[in-house]
Amino acid sequence: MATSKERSFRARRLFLDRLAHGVVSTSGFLIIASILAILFVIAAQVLPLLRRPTAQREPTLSSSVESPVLRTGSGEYRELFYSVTRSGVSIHRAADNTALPTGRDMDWGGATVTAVSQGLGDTFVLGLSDGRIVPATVSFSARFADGQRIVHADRVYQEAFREMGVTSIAIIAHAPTPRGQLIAIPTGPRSLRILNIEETETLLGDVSRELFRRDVEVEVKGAITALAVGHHGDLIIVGTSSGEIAEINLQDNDRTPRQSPPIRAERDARAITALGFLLGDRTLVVGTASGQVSTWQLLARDGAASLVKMHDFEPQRGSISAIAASPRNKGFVTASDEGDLYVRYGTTGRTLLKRSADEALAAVAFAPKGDGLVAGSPSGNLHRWTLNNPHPEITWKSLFGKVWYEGYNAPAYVWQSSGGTDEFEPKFSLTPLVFGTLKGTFYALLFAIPIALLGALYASQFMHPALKNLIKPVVELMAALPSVVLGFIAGIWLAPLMAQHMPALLLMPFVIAAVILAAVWAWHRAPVAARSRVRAGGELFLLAPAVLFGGWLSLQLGQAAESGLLSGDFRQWLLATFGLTFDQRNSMVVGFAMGFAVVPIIFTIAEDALAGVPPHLKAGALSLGATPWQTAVRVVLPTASPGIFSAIMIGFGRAVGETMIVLMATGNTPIMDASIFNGFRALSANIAVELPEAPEGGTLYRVLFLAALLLLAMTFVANTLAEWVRLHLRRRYQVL
Amino acid sequence: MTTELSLDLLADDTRMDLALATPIVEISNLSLFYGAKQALHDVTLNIPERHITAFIGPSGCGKSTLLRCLNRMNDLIDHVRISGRIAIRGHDIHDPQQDVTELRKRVGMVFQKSNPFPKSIYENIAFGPRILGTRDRATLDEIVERSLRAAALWDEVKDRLNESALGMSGGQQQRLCIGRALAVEPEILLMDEPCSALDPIATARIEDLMLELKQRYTIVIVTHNMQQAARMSDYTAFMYMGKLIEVGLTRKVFTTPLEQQTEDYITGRFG
Amino acid sequence: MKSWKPGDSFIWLSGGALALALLMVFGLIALVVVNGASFFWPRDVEQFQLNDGRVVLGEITAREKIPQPNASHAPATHRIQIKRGNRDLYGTDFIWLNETDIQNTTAPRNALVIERVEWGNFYGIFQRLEIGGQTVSNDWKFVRARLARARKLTAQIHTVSRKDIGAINRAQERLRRELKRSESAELRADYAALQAQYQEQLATLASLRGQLTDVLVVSAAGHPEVRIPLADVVRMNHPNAMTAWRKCCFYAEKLWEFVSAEPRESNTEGGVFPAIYGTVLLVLLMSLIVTPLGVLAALYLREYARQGPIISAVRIAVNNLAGVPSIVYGVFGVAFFIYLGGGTIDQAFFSDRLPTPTFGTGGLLWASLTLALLTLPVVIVATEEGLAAIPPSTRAGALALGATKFETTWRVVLPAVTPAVLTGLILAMARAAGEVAPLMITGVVKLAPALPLDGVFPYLHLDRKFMHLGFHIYDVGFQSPNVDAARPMVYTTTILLLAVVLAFNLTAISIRARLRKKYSSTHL
Repeated sequence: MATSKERSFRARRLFLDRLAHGVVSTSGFLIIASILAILFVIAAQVLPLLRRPTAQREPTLSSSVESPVLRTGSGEYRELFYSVTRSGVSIHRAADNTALPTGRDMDWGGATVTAVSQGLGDTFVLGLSDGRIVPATVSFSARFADGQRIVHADRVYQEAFREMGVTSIAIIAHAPTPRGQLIAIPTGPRSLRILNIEETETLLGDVSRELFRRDVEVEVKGAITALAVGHHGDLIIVGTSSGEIAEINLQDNDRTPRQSPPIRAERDARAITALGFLLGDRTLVVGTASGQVSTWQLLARDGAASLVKMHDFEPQRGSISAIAASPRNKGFVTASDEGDLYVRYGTTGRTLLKRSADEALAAVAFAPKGDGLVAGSPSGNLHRWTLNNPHPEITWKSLFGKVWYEGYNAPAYVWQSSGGTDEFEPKFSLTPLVFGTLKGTFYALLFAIPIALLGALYASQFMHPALKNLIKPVVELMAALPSVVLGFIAGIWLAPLMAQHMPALLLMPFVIAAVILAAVWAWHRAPVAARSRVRAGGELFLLAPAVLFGGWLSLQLGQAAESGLLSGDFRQWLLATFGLTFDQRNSMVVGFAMGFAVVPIIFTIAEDALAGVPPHLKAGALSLGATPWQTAVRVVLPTASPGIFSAIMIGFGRAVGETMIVLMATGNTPIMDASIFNGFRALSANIAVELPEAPEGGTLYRVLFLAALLLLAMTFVANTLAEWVRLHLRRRYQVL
Repeated sequence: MTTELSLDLLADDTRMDLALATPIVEISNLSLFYGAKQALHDVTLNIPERHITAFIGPSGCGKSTLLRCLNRMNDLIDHVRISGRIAIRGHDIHDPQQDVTELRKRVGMVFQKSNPFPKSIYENIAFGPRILGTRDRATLDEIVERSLRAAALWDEVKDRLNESALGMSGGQQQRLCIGRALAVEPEILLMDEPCSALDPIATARIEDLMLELKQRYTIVIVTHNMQQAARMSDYTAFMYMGKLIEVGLTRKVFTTPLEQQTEDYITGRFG
Repeated sequence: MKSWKPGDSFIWLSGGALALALLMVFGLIALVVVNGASFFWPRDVEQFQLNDGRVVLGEITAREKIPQPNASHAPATHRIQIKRGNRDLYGTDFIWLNETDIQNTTAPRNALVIERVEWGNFYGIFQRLEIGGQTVSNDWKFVRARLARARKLTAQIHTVSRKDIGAINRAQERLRRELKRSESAELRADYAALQAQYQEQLATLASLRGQLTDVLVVSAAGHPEVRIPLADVVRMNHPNAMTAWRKCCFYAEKLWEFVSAEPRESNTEGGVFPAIYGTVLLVLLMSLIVTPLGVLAALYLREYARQGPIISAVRIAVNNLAGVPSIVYGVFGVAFFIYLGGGTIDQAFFSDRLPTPTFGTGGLLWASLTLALLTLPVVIVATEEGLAAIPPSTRAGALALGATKFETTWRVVLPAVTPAVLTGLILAMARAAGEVAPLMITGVVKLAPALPLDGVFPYLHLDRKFMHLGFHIYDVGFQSPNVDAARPMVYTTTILLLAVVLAFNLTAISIRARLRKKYSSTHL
């Protein structure tokens, strides 16, 4: 019988045991689960990129709105909205669906607003029924009282002015220019008046306005039905009832405006009903009476600029009644008289979102932060939506395919994540980065595989075991060299050196091989007595000087070749003969440096595989009269080939993910050029450079996570393949 | 030719003694050292042509080492030093002018554990001819068939020549290795315990094969199996502790051994 | 001759590949060591008289053939790069001279090299020392004594402005935040007292600065009188007149400064102490995290989990993770640790400082966690190997004596596996010490205002950004505005990093070799 003391002791032991079991199992499981969760955490950051945008209907504002609504817009936080109607601009509070008092109304002597042109920053030009023109603005201001935000809106009308010969205005367009603004009004079915208002501030702070007036006859079929001013006042686009668009170039202020030949916007000739420019004033959006929507760009081709269609968008029911550009990106929204509202993206040609207001729409606008939509109807309703559209520019095609960006002559793969202005459109094509990664990996493996595999073959088959035990730790040390050190040496020391001795480097593999062969030949001529003093496997010590001599010789030959054959300057010769440019930090430097990092990895794994080939197989081959080299190549190498494959795969994985070397030894230019004399930008280096600057949750941030996911996928596939093949090989060796 | 004919007329014993007198391999005063350790002590031995000679003796007695000296497989091991002389048809195999691959081509070897290459049956046989420079497909086909027939394997595998050799049974694998060795047309076939990993039926087949092969080849076999040595061999050399204790006609060695140690071993008193 | 076989040349060629690889390793190490170790050695200052009458004083730093396009048959001419310093006078530190333009070269014994706090080195000739505008002495010994005094005073100023005033500032900052929450007269009074202390310290500073009126008057080519306040001088000497012993002392002094001092001149001069400190602290923290996690995970995989296809798959996956690029771990760290973990901590504990993030940005803790994750597979694999090498009979022996599984693990298995864990840990530390890419996005900076571990409560500041040797190499070598001047410094830093990493690796290799010997001898 155990005493109670013993019993409690035993209980404690058992408790401890169970506790330990629980702790180890749970925590071990958790640790492993959490490191495997890396994939999911990264994927979770990428996922929102691919989510479709959403829109939520908000209560319609109607009671305070006069009909019909000609234009509409929203304040920054969507507390206030405005509408432009026949009597002018009125402001509405969303919270209680009321109109705000906006001070005295203008007395336009009974004339009503018949045409409105809406610019960025809530600026307008109103055209009145009696032919007068009124520039106007709505400005929002906010103040805090008792911790609450109180928003206020002001409308300001400038003085109305009348233009000679204009009796009523049905269409009007305007845009700010660097020095004022430009207004265009049709004065007849095919004639235009262009008003250039230049504002100069006097010393006293007053603004003096000067007005330049030009009349243009437009050579188009049909009558003008739509107008838009683009390129910051440098051109006017005319749309006609016959479905044509024409560009009128105003760039040269003094000369008469030049008109380009009109182009049919769509194959079937329906009237152009709406024109607009996207953010940046470069891309034209054309909407027709049959609901077609397309984007156009002015491109210089064959010396002359002409309008070129970039994308056809999904058509809408009815006729396009309004187009509004997003204030944040190259997105836009089109509204039709059937009440449909399509949110689209200019660069990708995609229609992101479709909503319907269930009644005809005449006006539409984005909220200033791009997070809301407001559309006005002829019946005097303001329909509202909140919009969640964080990554409109991302599609699989825009990430990996060619994209036709604004200002580019053709679709291209471009990575350019930041630019100087707010209007800059980030370009996120991962293709040049993937290309760069694979290019660097290719050149690294090109350098590393021969050296590592030949070295491993030598070490495993021919080298004296004692020497091998000495060499292997050295190779392990090589693997441990921090990549930042390799990158530094490559970028600072190797790159300039290689640039100086390019021809020599290209000769080097051949010269060194020739010198070694010469050494072998000489060795076999050497007296037997001298030879017998070096044991088999000791060739290494004889080889080191041979390799060094070969290196030296190729330097000399390279210099001779450069001055003798390449007229003294390799780079010029390269450019003249092959049209290749030469970067100092080029792929060859990376190949060397990254190859240096990969050699020990491939060497170690391949050597293990080769050394693991069962000795009785070798004995079998030798006993048949095979030479050691024949044995190595015909028996050992094929038997170990899965191991060599897995070594190369692991080396590939390492090179793909290497960051510091590619960061330091290349110019990091994201170009797609396979030339060994140019640099590139790799996925990994791109992440290291750009992630610290990327705002959390932004498109760039998520695209960089996608880049990381790609890297993870590439290495994971390579490593799994390698591991699987290696396990297979191990089983095979057991059978042999 | 005449000698051979006349041999048949002689009494069995005399014929064999005569064969011993005109050996294909002459080993004289052979000593072998692994570093400081001596593994063979002053072995002198002649091996007759077209007969089976068996090396027997307890484990570690040096019989395998001696066998491996004959095609210089010991060269592969570090720190091996050899003194004495081995001559095949009068040529010293340790002559610096001697090409070791040429020697190994003439002296084939079959190992204790069958070691087919991880290739097809065809490629295993063709390996030797190929490395020696035969590229012609028809010639290779002919060699493969001849070697497989010689190894008594042809009928079993002729329909699956392109399958992996690793799929064969142990006995088949070993016969394949014999066929592979025969494909380079050696003069001498060394067999290092070729049946130790096989079952009795497979062993019997290999033994039949050996009896057939001795018509054309000189066979030297190392074996642990006393019955096998008694059954198969014409001559037996008994080794102990690196020394050659006794050599002679198998019948004589097994029935009337000259040395006490031989008798002790054969009767199973140690070993 | 029979022994000539075609395969032989291939054998030699393959041997050549191995020889090439080894030569590259040793070449690289030699390159780094030669370039880095020679940096501190005082080189002779030479004076070049040019054909056009100009005079250049400085050290030769490089010599190269002048690239001559389309003139291949002209005799090769060389040019030399001179470090002439005096960036404030000439704009650049370096100048290239064609050798053909040089009339003669001398090494004046009175050439003076002054290492300054700002503007890099000064090369010139000593004229006189002025104190408070009065010429006092031309006696070099006296000047040296005054320099020692000036250095002492600047050190005092540094202490006062950094430590004392810093402490007062921190206390005031704390009071300010408390005052924001609740107004109280007591706090106000404390605040005023601190303000008085602050004024006092300012006065001390002013008086210390007032004592620094020594001005060194020196001359350089084209500038007969250059005035350098002695307070700006770090050290000065006449390298051409130095004895070998003096040069050795100088070398040792510079070396000590390198490992113990803070960097100056945007990291191109001074020391790398904060980087060493940051690296060591990072690696230590990482080890503290990774060891228990790695050992637990390995114990689970090998001793506690039911072996089967799932565990085999997990094992392959863990092996694979060792091959996942380090930058991917960094990206994970950014998403998971910094924005998720750090963001949550900030919301919960540091909401008064928002929107300025405390933990919601890169810092020591996140960087070391990221590295721990990165090196976890290394430790797991090494520990697992060690566990696999312990023969089952050992465990059976303990269990047969009635020990529980926990007791067996704790008293028998763990002690036996310790060397293997150690090997894995050291390899992990070597990897962590050399890793830069994930740190770049999780908290390393080029210049940290304060050390992450210091005498200010709570002593270990896990949220602080830190400096790192590897990043220092990248930053100074590639982002520095004056790469030519910074390069030798980078080589020296590289030696340091290489020494650390190689020492870790050699230790691991030797432990492993001993382990293998031990296991192979006990199991034969």
